[in-house]
Amino acid sequence: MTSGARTLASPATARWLTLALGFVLGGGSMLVGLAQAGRLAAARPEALVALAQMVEVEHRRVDLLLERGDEAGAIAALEALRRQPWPAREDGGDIGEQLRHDVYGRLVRLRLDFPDIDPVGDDALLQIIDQGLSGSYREVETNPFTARLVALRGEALEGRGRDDEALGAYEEALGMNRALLDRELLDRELGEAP
Amino acid sequence: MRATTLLLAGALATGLLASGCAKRAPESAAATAAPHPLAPELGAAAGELAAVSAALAQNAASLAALGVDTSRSRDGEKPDAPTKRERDEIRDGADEKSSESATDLDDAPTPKTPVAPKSAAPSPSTAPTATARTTAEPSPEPVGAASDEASGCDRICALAGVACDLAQRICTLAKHHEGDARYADVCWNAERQCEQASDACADCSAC
Repeated sequence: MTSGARTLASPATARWLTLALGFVLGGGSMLVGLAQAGRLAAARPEALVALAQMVEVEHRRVDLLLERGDEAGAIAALEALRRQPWPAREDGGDIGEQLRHDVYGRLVRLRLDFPDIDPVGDDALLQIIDQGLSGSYREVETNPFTARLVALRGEALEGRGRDDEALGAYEEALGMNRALLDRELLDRELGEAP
Repeated sequence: MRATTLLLAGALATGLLASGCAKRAPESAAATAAPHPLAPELGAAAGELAAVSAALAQNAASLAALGVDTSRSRDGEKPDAPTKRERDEIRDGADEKSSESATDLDDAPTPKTPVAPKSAAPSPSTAPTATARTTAEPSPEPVGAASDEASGCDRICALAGVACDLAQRICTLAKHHEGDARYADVCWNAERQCEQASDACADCSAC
């Protein structure tokens, strides 16, 4: 299997994407619903929706580039997207934060999988991750994008031999995953209640 | 599978949207009588929206030039639910990989586990998404409780997969720190979460 195909079709990636699908679609739709109900977290819903659509289109472009084996193009596309101005949390709300975590997460995944393409140093990669997470990621409602980026931070730290910090990141990601799972199981239980 | 899940999520999105619309009704009347308090901000947002929309159009044009129809979703894969055998292999994998300098969980062999068959949900989705997972395709089947059920099960199974991936990575790391209680504890917790999540996945898949 080629590295590109591996990145596209690997089970772990599929899991993240499946998670992302359900959670973000639900979250995004909730955003719109809450906006129309006058209970919107984001101050600029239109801009946020447009941003989300742009991110989606870019993801599709990256998909295509990876299918064609153009990992360098995919990384460049995500780098360009990463460097665009992201809304502050007070403007974009949690959804805006999740969108940023998603883009950074996919970029970092590719950076870790293809370290020889447009290489960045370990420290720079960690800086990118920390920039993506920003300091307030723990305040964002638990979601799979943030969990993935935290887990990737652990991976990057592990690659640098900073095992204790890596373990902490993995443990944090595991806790987020636990919360997401509990939420799903509760929803399921409530759905089954008479 | 991912596309089907998308459709299911789209149905959820439509439901939530409808809910939001329903809740908005009384406020709409008030909104017509007075300027919206966020009008200045929304005006600024409109400017941003135009810029972002232009970028979006450019992206869409680029995609179209590459032969991609952005109105269609990608074909997806089934989320891989870890089997008991797979969970058992986590320890073995950790043993085997303990001599490696680094591992990539995305490369971990994960046998496919059947996921409960789902009925496709029909709703087109225009909700914002973070990845290419929306679709405007009409669904041949009505939205129903079964769709929501399958969607939730998919997410549970995906979470199980993530938990087991994390467990493998954590326990591999723990092998390098034998005797360190913290590593052992986190590994144990990760394995329990993997096992519990996998059981939950198996339970809902069997429904």
